[in-house]
Order: sequence, then C-alpha cells, then structure tokens
Amino acid sequence: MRKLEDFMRDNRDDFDSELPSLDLWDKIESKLEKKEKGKHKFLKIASAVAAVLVLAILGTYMLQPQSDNNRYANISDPELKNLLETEAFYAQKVSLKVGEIQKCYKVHPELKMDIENDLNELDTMYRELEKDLDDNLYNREVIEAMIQNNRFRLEMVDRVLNQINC
Amino acid sequence: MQPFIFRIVYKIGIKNLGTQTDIHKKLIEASKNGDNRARRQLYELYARAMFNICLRMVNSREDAEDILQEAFVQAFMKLETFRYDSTFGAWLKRIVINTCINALNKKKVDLLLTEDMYHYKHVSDEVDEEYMPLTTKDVQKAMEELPEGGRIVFSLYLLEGYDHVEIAEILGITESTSKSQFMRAKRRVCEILKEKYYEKA
Repeated sequence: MRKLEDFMRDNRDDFDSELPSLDLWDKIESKLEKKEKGKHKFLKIASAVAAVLVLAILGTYMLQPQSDNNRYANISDPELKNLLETEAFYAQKVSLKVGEIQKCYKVHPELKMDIENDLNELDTMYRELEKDLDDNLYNREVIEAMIQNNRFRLEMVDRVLNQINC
Repeated sequence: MQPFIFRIVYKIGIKNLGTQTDIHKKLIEASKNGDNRARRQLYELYARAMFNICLRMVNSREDAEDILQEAFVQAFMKLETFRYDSTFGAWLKRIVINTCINALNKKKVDLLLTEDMYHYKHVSDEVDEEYMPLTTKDVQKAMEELPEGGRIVFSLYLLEGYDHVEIAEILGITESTSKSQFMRAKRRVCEILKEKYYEKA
C-alpha cells in the first residue's frame, strides 16, 4: 500500500511536465522595455518637479531671517549653539528613520517587539539626558552624550532598514 | 555604550534577518541593473516551474501563459526590492501565485473556499499499487477535475510546499478551511483515480 501524498512527494519533479511557449520571453522583454521607457519618462518629470520644489523651499528659507523657533535660540555661545544644532539635526533624522521602520512592522510584525524594546531603552536614556540639559543648559558633556545617543540609534535603525525588505 | 549596540544588532541579525545566500546572486544583480541577457537566463531557469504552478492554479494553458508573462514582468520591475531575505525562487513563486489569484478574482471565479460543516479528519489516501499503479499523468488529470479552490489548496500544499498557515494567508481563508479543503480534495483525487482505473480494467 502506498499513500498518494508520498507518491506525489517522491515524484515531485515529474509534476512540472509542461513548458510555456517559446516566444513567451520575447513578449516579456518587449513589455519590460515599454514599461521601463514609461518609468524613465516619469522619473525625468518627477525629478524636474522635485528640483523646482527644492529650489523653492531653499529660496524661501534663505530669504527669511534665521528662525527663532529653536528653544535654545537665545544662547549666544556659538560653539554651544553649534552643538545644539547638531543635536537637533540627529534627533530629527532618528525620528524620520524610526518612522520608516514602524511602517515595516506590517511586513515584519516579528520585528516590532525587539526593535521597540531596544529603541525604548535608548529612548529612556535620551529623555534623561534631555532632563539634565534642561537643568543645566550649558553642559557640553550632556549635549555630546545626546548626540552620541542619537548616532547610536541612527546606526541601529540604518542597519535594520538595510537588512529588512519591506 | 558600544557593546550594548552590538548586542542589539547581533540579536536582530540572528533572530530575524538571517540572509540566505542565493545561488543566482550574480544573475539577479545583473538583472537589477537591467541586463537583458541575465534576465533571460533567470527566466529560463524558473519559467518551467512557475508555468506549471500557473497551470495548476488556473487550469488553462492560455491563461497560464498570460499570467506567467505578467508575473515575470512584475518581478523584474520590482526586483530592486528583492534583498535575499528568502531564496529568489520563493520570492518569485509568491508573485506568481498572487498574480494567479488576481487573475482568478478578475474572472470572478468563485473558489468556494468555505469552511466545511464537518472536517475530514482522517482520510485514507492509501492506494494499493499492486493492483493500481500510480502515474504522474493520472494524478495530474485527476487534479484537473477538482473544483478550483480544492485544486489550488491541494497543489499549494502538496506540490508547492506551503503549510496550512501559509495557504490560509495566501488565500485569505482560515487554517481549518485550508485543512478541510485539502482533505476533501485528496479524497476526491483518490476516488477519481479509482474510478478511472476500474473503467480501464
């Protein structure tokens, strides 16, 4: 006695007995060509639009006086200001990338717990540093630690983003 | 600070992101860059297997060829998103199967994948080969006679190697529906084989 399932598994390769028409590749190739031409056209238009937008944004930004919505705007020490600005730059980058990863949870739900746990750990440390900074605004070490913390998060999310496919 | 970060990356790397090396990596990379010869080679390597999947899914040569065409065009268009998280074959197979399902939906084929009133828990699929030798051709023919949904579940499970959890996800049905449909299809194939055999004899 033999089971149908076993028979099918043992002879799996024989089940791929049919072949597609020989000219199928040509059809695929010509379809690809058409689509890629369309894609290039779209890309050209899109990049032109993007360039105009970037110029427009840069223009308005440069024409305006330095914005003072920065909460540390009244600091006069240029070196300290520089540090704070670097910090803000990294913080923004991190939150952007974390947003990207969060989008991936749908595709890789198993990542959620791990990443969230680790990110939360770093996040708590970051919040503590922020508190320290509020207590003592001129503490260079604290700002540097914040930048470092952001760099680590950036490195981590970058690696994760590179490795997952979503 | 440093070891902490490494621990995270290491942990993620091992648990979730283990990448498989793909034997056709060179071809895939060249295809990503639009190399038509590499694309053709990739096509030649996978066309046969993928075509047979289409055939089993839609049961028509003409439709299967259209679907195969569309699936390969799609795959090459989004090849950049393939990052070796699975084998290329497994990635392509999902595209092919999804294209088949879309085509069936478009044709408004009702897969009739509803849960059975009762489950066929233990269906014997034993065939006495001494009296009734099995051949691939006969099994294929019997499969062609199955109703759409049953045939698809049957071939996804036995020939494409998906488990019932995966099939449930692919077809948007419950796991128990997948199981009962499979059992029902298997029983039907055995019946058809026996009928055919006694007809001949």
